[in-house]
Parts: sequence; C-alpha cells; structure tokens
Amino acid sequence: MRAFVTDPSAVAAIVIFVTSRRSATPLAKSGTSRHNVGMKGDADIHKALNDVLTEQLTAINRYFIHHKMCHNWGYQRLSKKKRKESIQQMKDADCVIDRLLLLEGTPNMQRLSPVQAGEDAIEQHEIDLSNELKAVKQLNLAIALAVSKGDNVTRELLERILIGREDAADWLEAQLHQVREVGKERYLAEQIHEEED
Amino acid sequence: MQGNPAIIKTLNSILADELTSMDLYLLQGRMLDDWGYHKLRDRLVHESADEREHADSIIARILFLEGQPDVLARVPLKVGNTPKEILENDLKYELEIAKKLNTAIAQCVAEGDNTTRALLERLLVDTESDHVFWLESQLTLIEQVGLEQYLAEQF
Repeated sequence: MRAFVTDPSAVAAIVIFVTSRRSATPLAKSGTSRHNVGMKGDADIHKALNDVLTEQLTAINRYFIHHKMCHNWGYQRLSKKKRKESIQQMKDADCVIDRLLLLEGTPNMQRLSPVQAGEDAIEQHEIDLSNELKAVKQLNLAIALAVSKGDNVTRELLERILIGREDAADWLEAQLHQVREVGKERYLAEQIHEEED
Repeated sequence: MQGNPAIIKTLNSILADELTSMDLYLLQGRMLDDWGYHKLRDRLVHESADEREHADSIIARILFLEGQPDVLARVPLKVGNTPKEILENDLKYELEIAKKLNTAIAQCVAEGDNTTRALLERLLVDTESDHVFWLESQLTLIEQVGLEQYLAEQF
C-alpha cells in the first residue's frame, strides 16, 4: 500500500489527468468547439471511440479490484501486474478521451459494463483474458471503421492501443499455460514475491 | 505532567506486551534463519523492530506522565516449533494485543487523555494493518498453495 502512493507510474497517471483537465478549460468557455472551424469528427467514429472508452473504463476497475484482491491474498507479483494493467488502461482511456474531445464528440464517462471480479487468482486471469480478447475484436472493428472513414489518426491511436491489448492477452495466455503445466499450487507459490526489476 | 495512575498502569501492561513480542519475534526470526527461511526471518526481524519502536514510544509517554516504566515485566508466551505454528501463534497474539489496545483507547477517551489515545491508535493501526494483515495473508497462502510450496518460497 505504501508502494501505491510513491509509485512513479501512479504519479504520472495523475499528472496526465491534471494536464488534460487544464487544456479542457478554454474549451468549456467557448462552448463545444475551440475554433469556429474545428475538427468535426464523424458520428460513427464518435460512437466507436465511446464504445472503446466504455471497455477501458470497465477494465480499469476490473484490474484494480483484481490488484487489491491479489494484494489481500498475498500474491505480490500478481498484485503489482494487475495494478500496472489498470494504470495502462487509464493511460489508454486518456488518449481516447483527448481524441473524442478533439473530434468534438462527448466522452461518456458514466457508462460502464458490469465489472466482473474473479474469486481466485486463476479465475481472474481467465476473466481478464476473455475481456482482452473481446477488446482486441472491438478495436479491430473500430480500426476498420476508421480506415473506411479515412480517419487515419484515430486508426493510428487504436492500433497503438491494440498492440498493448494483444500483449496483455499474450501474457495472460502464458500464465494459464503455466498453470496447466506446473499446477495451480506451484504457479501460485511463484506469485508470492514481487519480481525484482 | 502528572498523569492518571490508571492510564499509567494500562500503559505499563501494554509495554509488557510490546517488550514480550519484541523478544519473541527476534527469537523466532533467528529460529527461521537457522532453518534457512531467510525471507521469513527478514519479516520477523522487521516486526521485532516495530515492537521495539512501540515500546520506545510507550516508555517516553509513561515518563512524561511521571510514571515508572516497568521494562522488566514480560507476558508468558508460547514459541512455535514450526514456521506455521509460529505464524499461527503470532496471529493469535496480535489479535489479543489489538483487543487490548481497543480497550485501552476506550479508557483514554473516558479519562480524557487524548494524547495517549492518539499514541495507542497509531500502535493499533500498525498491529492491524501491518502485522495482522501480513500474518493472515501468509496463512491464506499456505492454505492455497500448500505448506511445502509456501516454505520453498521463503529461502
């Protein structure tokens, strides 16, 4: 818990949020657009970005509760990893929100899918994996949409996020593979201590 | 500053607990070291240092209240013979201390001694959020991964 406060990545996430709030202030004064001629985005792109955002906001919460539960059980390695994923989702959401605002859309911060939490560490991996695979599918569809609408900056942003999601799915698949090979008890025993950087 | 004699008596009783657990954790830390469980040793030595710091702040408070700190008193305690027994005994003991601290805090409130209350609350937070939390986590881990596997991670 002490590490939570002093972890530089947590500070970075907070700084990012403060910065984006500051840049939003002039926008609020002059209505929805900063300029008379703005970057008016496509309504379908707005919807796709908001769907991605909903998935991210849900994932932030899911990874965070997994982080806290692993910490409570004493799996420090997993606790740290889940927390890192939660923060990463927050950073990704940060970029999507910025993009939506630039395209004069309204980021929907209220909508969340049901947050599923696994009752043990292995079930948590399974739930995280199935959600990551869903996110990969969703991102690929949104990328196809961005290509068809000729919005290549949105496409580039979504591709960057997609790479991260595939990496996360890859890690989760490897964990479940290890569980099958070495057994649940041995796998869990290896998660007690934090990895040394 | 002349303190309330009943509060001084309570502080002395808690002091005996803190000093006993300081000795106990140091001894058990060395036992674990001897068995080769160095990670558990580090933790127990850390707990012993915590208890010493607790005892230190209680002694300072008793002296300020113009009482006599009794640094010789100890509570009879059971020393575990195996790592698991050590963890179980320590948890039982920490829970007893938490109970005792809560009673003492209630007494401080009743007697209007809020600085002693603040001191005891700090000790209570350490007891619950650090010691009890860690001990319960370890016993959960033993249940989930098995004793052998758990111990193999403590070299």
